[in-house]
Amino acid sequence: MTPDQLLLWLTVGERAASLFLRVADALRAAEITDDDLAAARARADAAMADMDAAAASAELDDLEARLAAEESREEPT
Amino acid sequence: MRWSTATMAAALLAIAGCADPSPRAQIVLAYDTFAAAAQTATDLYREGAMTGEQFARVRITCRVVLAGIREAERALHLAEMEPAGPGRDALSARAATGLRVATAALAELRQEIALAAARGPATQPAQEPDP
Repeated sequence: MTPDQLLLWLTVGERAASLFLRVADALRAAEITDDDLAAARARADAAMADMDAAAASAELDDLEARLAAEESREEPT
Repeated sequence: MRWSTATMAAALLAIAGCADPSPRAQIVLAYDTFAAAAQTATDLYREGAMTGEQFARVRITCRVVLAGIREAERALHLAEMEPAGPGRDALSARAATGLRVATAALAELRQEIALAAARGPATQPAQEPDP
């Protein structure tokens, strides 16, 4: 494993650990409520929105459209 | 050391002391695992550690993951409202399928992020959007 990979996995691991603890608290409860689901969905949507904001450029949108088109052509019909 | 999705799930189960998480718990876990991976990819792109093309590929995979989790959640809601029987079983199976698709795409997503980071600094600098 390269130092870059190690750093990446440490970063991901740290974040995942904190998220796991939060989810573990919810799991200990008798039931995952609709509010828990909505909160998790909101966290995922926020991460996707941040990703969209970082990528908000016409150049990147064109690139993504081209890659998506290439991938759909590669998929068997 | 490499964390597979199964390893992370096992770690969660160990922390929670819960051997068989409910479908709702699996969906919460999938959403949170996705959020962590997507945020990591975004940070790498902003730091210039990922090219525009790498980031675009990651975003495509992210959409697949999110769509799979949402599909699983929708199917689960419908299954919970359905009386016990074949209809409910079919919806539960749809939810499980959505989760499997999302889990597989999540593994792919994390692999793409790791590969992008391992390739080193971006050849195309990351661009912030114009204000």
